[in-house]
Amino acid sequence: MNTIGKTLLPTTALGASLVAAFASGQLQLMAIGLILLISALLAGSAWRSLLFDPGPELAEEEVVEADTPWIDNTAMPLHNLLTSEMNGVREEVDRVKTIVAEAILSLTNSFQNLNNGSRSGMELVHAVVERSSSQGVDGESTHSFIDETGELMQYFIDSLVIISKQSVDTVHRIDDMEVQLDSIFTLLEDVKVIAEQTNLLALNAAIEAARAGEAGRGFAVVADEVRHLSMRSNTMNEQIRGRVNASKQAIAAVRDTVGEMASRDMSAAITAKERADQALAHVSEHNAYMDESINRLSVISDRIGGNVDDAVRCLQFEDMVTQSLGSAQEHLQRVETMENLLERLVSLAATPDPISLSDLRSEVELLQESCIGNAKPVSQDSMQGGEVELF
Amino acid sequence: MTGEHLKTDIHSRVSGDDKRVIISMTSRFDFSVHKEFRESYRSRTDSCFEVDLSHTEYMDSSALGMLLLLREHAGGDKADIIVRNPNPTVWKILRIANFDRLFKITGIRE
Repeated sequence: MNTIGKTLLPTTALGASLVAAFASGQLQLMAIGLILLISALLAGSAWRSLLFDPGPELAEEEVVEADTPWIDNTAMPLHNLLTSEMNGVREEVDRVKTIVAEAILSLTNSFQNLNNGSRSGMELVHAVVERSSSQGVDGESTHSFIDETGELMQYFIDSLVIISKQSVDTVHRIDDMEVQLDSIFTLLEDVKVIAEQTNLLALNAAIEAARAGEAGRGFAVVADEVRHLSMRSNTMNEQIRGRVNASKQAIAAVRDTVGEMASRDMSAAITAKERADQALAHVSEHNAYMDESINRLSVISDRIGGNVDDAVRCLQFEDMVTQSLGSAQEHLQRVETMENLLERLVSLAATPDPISLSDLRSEVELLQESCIGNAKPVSQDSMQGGEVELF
Repeated sequence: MTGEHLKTDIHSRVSGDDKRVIISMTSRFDFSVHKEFRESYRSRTDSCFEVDLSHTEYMDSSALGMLLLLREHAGGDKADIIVRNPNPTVWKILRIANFDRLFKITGIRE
């Protein structure tokens, strides 16, 4: 009301002076009055602008006069650009959110599969190794089979040695027998000598009997018989000698046979034993290698599990990204609000009224408060260890 | 088996303070020398022997039997018999027959 009053007062005053001038019939005065009226109107508008108290951020708009062309040429296009760019940003933000969510789901699945695959592989290796080290002949382990083979070989070698010893011992006894047989020949020689001497004696006896004549006839007969006996003795001697020789030959044959029994070449035994020892060493080496390999595989599998855990933990970045994107969306929201306020302000610039302006001012203040009241939602910028705030 | 000189006879002698009977073996220690080997220890009543295999290149199972008989003659477990200088093959034979438990085997050749 004060404003209206202040406007009307000089206008009324000047209007009155104009009437007075007209009444007095002085045109010059009328002209002066018109000029003064126009000035008053202009001054009134100047007063109006002084009374209206603008906010700091709208100071620029206040300097520009209420004039629609700048609204259409500059403000509206700018406004349209802002809108379309904001839409673009929002679309991208939404898109990123979707992509990230899908990618994380897929990655998590892959990692879990990887881990499961690794564990299955380990179990399979375990099973294979168990099997290969324990399966042998009749389900016994290869190791014990080789052990038993080695024992069997040792048994045969020991038997071989014992048989050799007994064979050589037998040959010794045969040698002794042969010595005995040879001694018989000596005896036979003596018998032969005795036989020959008996023969001679008998001959002498026959000669003496002949010299004795008739009286010696009986004696000559006896002497003859003695000669026959000694000849028979010689014959038997020869037979005995023959038999003894035959025995010697037979015994020699036995000795040869037994000698062959005693003579076994050892090289086959050595080779076989060495092979068995080697096989045993190989089995032990193989088992040791298997054990070591399994341990290393276990370590690797555990490491894979650890890496998978790390990767899954890294996928937590989804939370951070979601929060970041959410906050971006909120910023966009506020920018949209700002944009609306700007739009209304621009439209008010054509016909500013204090009430609308002050309403606008209050809304701007509200917006300012909501901007300041927001702490940065995610306190970490990188993936390295950090707490994710949940709100 | 073709050495520069093939030792074909065994001879034994007594030596050392312990009056050990040393039997020097032939290049071939097999059945063919069984009689000679026996003769080299048969008349002795000692229990300390040494079988010198420095010239021995071949040994078969009969030789093992002969050594066991020598050990028996010399008192069995009470016998003290050294087997000296076996070549690598002979050493292998002695070992698979576990003779290192029954005899003192020294000077194994390379």
